[in-house]
Amino acid sequence: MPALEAASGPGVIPRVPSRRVRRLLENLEAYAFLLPAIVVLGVFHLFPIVFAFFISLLKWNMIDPVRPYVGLANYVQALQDDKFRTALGNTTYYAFVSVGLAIPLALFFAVLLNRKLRGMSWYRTAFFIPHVTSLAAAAMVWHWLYNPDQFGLLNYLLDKVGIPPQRWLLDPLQAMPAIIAVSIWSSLGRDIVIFLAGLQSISQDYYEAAQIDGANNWQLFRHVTWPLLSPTTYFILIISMIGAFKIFALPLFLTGGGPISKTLTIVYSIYQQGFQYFRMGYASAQAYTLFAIIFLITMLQRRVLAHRVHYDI
Amino acid sequence: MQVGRRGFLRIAAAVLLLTASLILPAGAGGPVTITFWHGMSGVLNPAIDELTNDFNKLNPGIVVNAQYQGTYGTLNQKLVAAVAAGSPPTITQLFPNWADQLIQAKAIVPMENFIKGPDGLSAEELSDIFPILRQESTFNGVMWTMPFNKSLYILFYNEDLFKQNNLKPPATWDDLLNVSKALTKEEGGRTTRYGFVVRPTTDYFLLMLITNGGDFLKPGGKEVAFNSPAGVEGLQFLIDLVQKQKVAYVLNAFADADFAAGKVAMYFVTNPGLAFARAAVAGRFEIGIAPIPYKKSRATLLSGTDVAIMAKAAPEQQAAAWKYIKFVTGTTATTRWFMKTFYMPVRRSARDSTLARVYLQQNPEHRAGLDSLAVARTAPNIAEWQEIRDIIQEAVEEAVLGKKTAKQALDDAAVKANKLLSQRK
Amino acid sequence: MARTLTLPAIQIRAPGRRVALKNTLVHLVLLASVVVVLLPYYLMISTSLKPIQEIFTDPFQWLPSRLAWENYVDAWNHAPFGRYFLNSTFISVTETLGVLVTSALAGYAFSRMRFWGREVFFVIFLGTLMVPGEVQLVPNYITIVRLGWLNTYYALIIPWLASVFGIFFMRQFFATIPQELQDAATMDGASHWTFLWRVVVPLSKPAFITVGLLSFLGSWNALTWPLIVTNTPEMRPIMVGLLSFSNEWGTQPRLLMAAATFSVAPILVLFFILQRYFIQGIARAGIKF
Repeated sequence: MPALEAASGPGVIPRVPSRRVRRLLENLEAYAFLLPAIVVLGVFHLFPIVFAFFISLLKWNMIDPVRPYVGLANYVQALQDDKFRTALGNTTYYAFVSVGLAIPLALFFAVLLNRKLRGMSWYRTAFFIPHVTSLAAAAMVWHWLYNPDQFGLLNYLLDKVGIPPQRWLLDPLQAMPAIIAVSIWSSLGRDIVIFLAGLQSISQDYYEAAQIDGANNWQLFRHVTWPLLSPTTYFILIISMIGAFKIFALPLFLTGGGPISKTLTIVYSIYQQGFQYFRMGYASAQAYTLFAIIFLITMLQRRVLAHRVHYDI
Repeated sequence: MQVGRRGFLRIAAAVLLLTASLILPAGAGGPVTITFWHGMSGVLNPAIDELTNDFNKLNPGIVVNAQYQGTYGTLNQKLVAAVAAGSPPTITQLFPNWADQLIQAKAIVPMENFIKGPDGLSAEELSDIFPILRQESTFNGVMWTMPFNKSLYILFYNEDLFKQNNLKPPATWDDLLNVSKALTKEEGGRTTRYGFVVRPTTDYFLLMLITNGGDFLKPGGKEVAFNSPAGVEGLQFLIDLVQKQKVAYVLNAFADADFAAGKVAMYFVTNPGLAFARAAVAGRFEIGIAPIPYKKSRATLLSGTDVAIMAKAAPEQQAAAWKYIKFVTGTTATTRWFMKTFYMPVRRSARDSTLARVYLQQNPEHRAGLDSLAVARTAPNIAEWQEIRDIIQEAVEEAVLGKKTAKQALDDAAVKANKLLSQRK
Repeated sequence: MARTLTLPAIQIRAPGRRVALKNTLVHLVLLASVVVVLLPYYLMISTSLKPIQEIFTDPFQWLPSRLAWENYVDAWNHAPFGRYFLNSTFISVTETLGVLVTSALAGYAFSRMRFWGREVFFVIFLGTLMVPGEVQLVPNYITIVRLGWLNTYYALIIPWLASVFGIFFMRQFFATIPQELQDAATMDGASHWTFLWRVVVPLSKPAFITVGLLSFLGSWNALTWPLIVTNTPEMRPIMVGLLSFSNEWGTQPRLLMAAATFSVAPILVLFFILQRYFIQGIARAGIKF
């Protein structure tokens, strides 16, 4: 770091700007640092949040010059709309089942992988590959896997155990579970990795102490691992739930929302209303409804679970 | 080289002039450039390019850029966005219900202005265009668009299979059932070939509706009529083919692959589907074409798109656009279009032309389609129809899957559709 | 209860047969699970190399009789995949660079500078994380249309040049830089700018790699926004390109699987090389919160 010679050199009287000016300059400099982020985030992330709310109060068909203010009519319509209600139900079903299955599964594997055995990193890598695979490609492969005729791999395997071919994505009752399976497959690696990090951050001291007290494996898990893992578990639960309610790409690729709207999700509905029927106001109202739901669920999770989270002192 | 002050000014002026002439729009001397947005893919794309190039050559003062915008769904999205942003093309392809929306938004110019204008069509030339096609382009008594690539539904059948089994293409619903029965084959407990395929789509249902004497809307246009007994009967007929008689199966995809593989003997499709079917069949058997089987009245469903001129275009661009449209819907062009793409010719004179006659002699299978034009019906050309189609689609799916009875599904759909209609301004 | 910290006898005991059996069991379970997880990849690759007549077979054929490389050629030619890749690469690289720069700048400001409104701004930024991106879809689309940016790179890149997650992550990381370093730099007359780029950044390589990788991955795999702002093949990134490809060629699994394979290959290669950083990054992201 070069020394600032000029300030102490001969004949130079350093001009020290007044404190107020210096403060002002510091502030300006900070704002300059923030400027790029503020511009981008302001225009495309903050402003739209407000703008979307105003749009949701209008009846706005993209090209119609007439855009009457209709107050909360869009929201009322959404809550009475059969299709939107279906989307709400489908998404809730999807969220609870997929998260309810994914988290215990990820925890199970993370615990297994936490042992110091050979090749653990290979397994972990294998589990992680689906997470970096784009959903588009993954959906295309799963779509083929789920082929409803006898040509599909899954039906072939079922045939080997004597089960007749299933319609999978074309069956109203099987379509959503099929999507849930793909979703779990896709996010398992990420959840495992986060759980692993959480497991590895638990100090060995606790285990040693418990083992001295004669705890067996199950008790170790229940009284040491689980409580100390709870911040991580809580974190995964929250982000998984939020992500689950926003599900869109998988139904878009795999089922087109069908059959008979059985896999229509909230975001899919927003997409349809806004970008296929061009009902911008209605779509915005649905989007804000989604926001409200996510907010509620997150708050609910906090209320119910936060006090059960043990933080390491 | 020394450039004095005067010299510099001269050069600067020249550069400025050159730049200006390149940037500024062409004046009275330059050609009028217009854009034509369409959604024709595959073999249709080069066909429209060919027509466009011919027009450009014949009209040195006009340059038409035909631009493929993607599937019709994408085209619609792009169009709406462009209109909203104030930068639409000069001409666009569009379905009748899109046109309704654009008319309400004052985004297109009535074609009638040009038809009745100085460079327009004579009464004869106008009536030469098939009335049913003109009807689909007419909104509130005014003709707003021009029919361009129109098609209708017909039945494709495996001609070799029919000949082998001494069968004639079905003319009525009963024939359809009997022929399907004869052609459904079972091997080792599994059906290896079906007579017919039921695609749970709106169009399959609408075809049954109109061939049974049913209608889309009630007179007055405020309520739907597709859930009439005729409609219910039609839907039930399709369901029975699959569930009761087991001579058809449900397919959620295009049928040409299964047809080519010999899995099904017949299916409903529109004329341009012939190109895809031929590609899939690859000469393994002859593809026969027949009109849609009927119960109460011969009928078929009109499909395909029209073209419209956008209001934002400058007057000289609109005039050029009209010239182009006149050309591509002229007798010669539409005959060539028919022969290349299998879309219907839009003019009687085209159908009756020598060129067409010779072509039909060599390719008699196209007669069925052309003859069906006389009994073609158009769905309502209202903006809400697009969404009503989706509502009907879901009802058909529910009924075919056995989730609801045909009557229940159609009645529920009618309620939703009527609600949409009631919101119509 | 007082506990002595002598190592109990249990831990010194060498792994006996019971433990060895347990380990084998664990291996078996993991192996079986990995086979299931990787099954789709096997299907993808094997189908992509099967000649057309071996795809719709009954019973299912596990291996192709010959390597049908023509599937790849056909798939590549049926859609402008070269262009899709170019778009994705350009978009993702630009976005990642943008995010790194804006996140570094903003993260630095929040962690190491004092200015009026610092807490307020930070809370506002953080608040946007709560809002699902779908809320911003419609208004952003309208903004893009009005700007005339529809179907351009501007629409695809500019909204994503900054990331609240990136800013937050950098801020957390930069906050761990010892104050002494900053004081020393100030005494040497270094400006914030110099300190940031000459000292902080080199010390924050892990943060940059994490944010960079996650940003790149998110950008590469993005679907919803690119779907609605692109309309022509020239502008499509790979995800949207695959979607339209599967719409057009859905009846030919050999083409679809070939397209899926070469679409996924670059990221997978990148992943295998940079595995450590990927996984560490995700883990850190989880722990930091």
